[in-house]
Amino acid sequence: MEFMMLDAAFVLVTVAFFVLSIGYVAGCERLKRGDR
Amino acid sequence: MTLNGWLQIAFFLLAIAAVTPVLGRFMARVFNRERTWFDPVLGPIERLIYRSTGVDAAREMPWTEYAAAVLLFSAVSMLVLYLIQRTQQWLPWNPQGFGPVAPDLAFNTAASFTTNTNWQAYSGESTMSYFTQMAGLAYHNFVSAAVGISVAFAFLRGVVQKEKDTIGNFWVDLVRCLLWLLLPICIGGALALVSQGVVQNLRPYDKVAVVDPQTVSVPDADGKPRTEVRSEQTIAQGPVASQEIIKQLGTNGGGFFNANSAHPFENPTPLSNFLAMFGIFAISAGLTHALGTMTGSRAHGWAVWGAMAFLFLAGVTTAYWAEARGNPLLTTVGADQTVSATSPGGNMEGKEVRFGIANTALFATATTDASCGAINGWHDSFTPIGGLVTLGNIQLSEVVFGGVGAGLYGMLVYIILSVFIAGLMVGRTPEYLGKKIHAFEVQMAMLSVLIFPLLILVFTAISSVSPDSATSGILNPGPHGLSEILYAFSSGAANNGSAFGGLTVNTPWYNRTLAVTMLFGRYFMIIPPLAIAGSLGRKKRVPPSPGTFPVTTPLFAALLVSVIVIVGALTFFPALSLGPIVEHFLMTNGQVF
Repeated sequence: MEFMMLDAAFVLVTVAFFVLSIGYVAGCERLKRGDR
Repeated sequence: MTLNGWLQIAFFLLAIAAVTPVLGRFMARVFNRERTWFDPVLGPIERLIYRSTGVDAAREMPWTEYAAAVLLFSAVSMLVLYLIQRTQQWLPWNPQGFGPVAPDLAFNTAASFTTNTNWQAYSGESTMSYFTQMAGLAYHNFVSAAVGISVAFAFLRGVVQKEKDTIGNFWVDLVRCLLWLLLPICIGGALALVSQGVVQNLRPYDKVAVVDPQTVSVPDADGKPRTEVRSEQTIAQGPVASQEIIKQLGTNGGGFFNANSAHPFENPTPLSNFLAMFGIFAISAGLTHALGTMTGSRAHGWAVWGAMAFLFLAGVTTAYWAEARGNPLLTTVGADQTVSATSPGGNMEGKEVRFGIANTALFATATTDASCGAINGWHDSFTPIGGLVTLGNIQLSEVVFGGVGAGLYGMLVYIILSVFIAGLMVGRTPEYLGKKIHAFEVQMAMLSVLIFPLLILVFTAISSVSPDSATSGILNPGPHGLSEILYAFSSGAANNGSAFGGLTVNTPWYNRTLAVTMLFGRYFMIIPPLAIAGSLGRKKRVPPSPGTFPVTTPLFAALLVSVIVIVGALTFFPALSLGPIVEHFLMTNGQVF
């Protein structure tokens, strides 16, 4: 049970990191548009 | 130091110089979708892959979509690798019957191999099934390398093209890199390694009787020591050669065995050792020529190559000198560290006798210049100055040839900063190959440069003062212990993957923090260069003017080297002073750790 909780936590952290990275991409592009 | 050692180092660099234009031209043709010798065989396979996956090969992507594709591909790959490790007990090719990898370790390893780091908090031969090694780890060795190379070419397209919103198609770049570049070289390279004695099989481990049974002391169930006679030894083996070649060529570094390239089944002969080191630099060196080819300025490509070669030579010379000189404290207690017909001399602790000082210093320099992380000697056992070279190389962001693709796009970030500084000096808007450099490009370059030390220094600082979770893993006290922690997070953030050693890292703290470090160190440093590529690609090309700083001259190479060293030195000098530098002075005063 403890391992399943950890599995779920690590999967969630992985997904959260890549969602954050997509946000980072969007943030860089917004910065670029503001620069034009 | 010996003439033989210097000749081997010189021969290595000459071999890299020779392969640079060959691979550079070939890669430029592959990524420009020009005709090559492999097309009749690989073309149909490529088209079949696009048809079966629904990829429109003719469609190009803006940088945001390219980056999203990189991230999506990496996220799915990482989750699949996590799943493989956690279920390997039910999967095929597990003759040793290994159980599932623990969640912390599986998370760390999934992050490690997806990010091309190959940090290993486990012993491969006692943890991973053959299926996990091949379908999980070796697969990532290929695709993580291909991702890095693809991003480098996307950056190059941004530099080259005019007033265009797109920088290529990630899926096409990935497939072409795998089919045209990595797989053909690895098939030939793996066979060459097998010819040298690198094993390649799927057999269960052998048990053999040892010639001289050993009496060892082991703890019993109550923790009390008891003696035991060991008369049998397990010989681990498996599909090593196929993993070994891409481990070097893709600057991955994750060994099949815990001893990595010091293990005789991974790296049995001086020739296999040379091939391993050659593989580390080959593609990254070739990428500088591809830069010259695609930008129409071969001299610029060679100027970048020259800057990299200068930094490489500075590192290997220092490491070779320090290791050949040995530890003066050992001389005072009567150890002979001089070169003779029967001894390589110098500091041989942690080094393989069959490779000696020169080839270990060369391997250590190459593996930390590039983001490879394979080792053929123990960096923890180097002299403080020798260890400083390996640590310093990583902290220069691994742009000295660097990781496949990562080295070039990292270097291009430094080039942007160099031409920006040159522009400030002459009071003109900086330009790079006809593209004006504006605030956005410099902001992105600085973002990329600053994320790296932020990860390393913050996690090292926290780990250095966390007695329960972090410092309890240190096996050596004092400055050497700090070096061990600093090295671990430097290796993680730079996606190198080598370990200094002497630090117990298979703990929840290090598995989790290093996984996070590797993920941020890879993807938060890939995105700014892609953003720069997208921005440069949209710009007009302007003709050179008297205020243009030429990027083909020795002066440019010197400025580039200065910027890299100054940024690295200013960022990490205080931390290095508390680690290997103070350790060196303490050693000269009679204290070792």
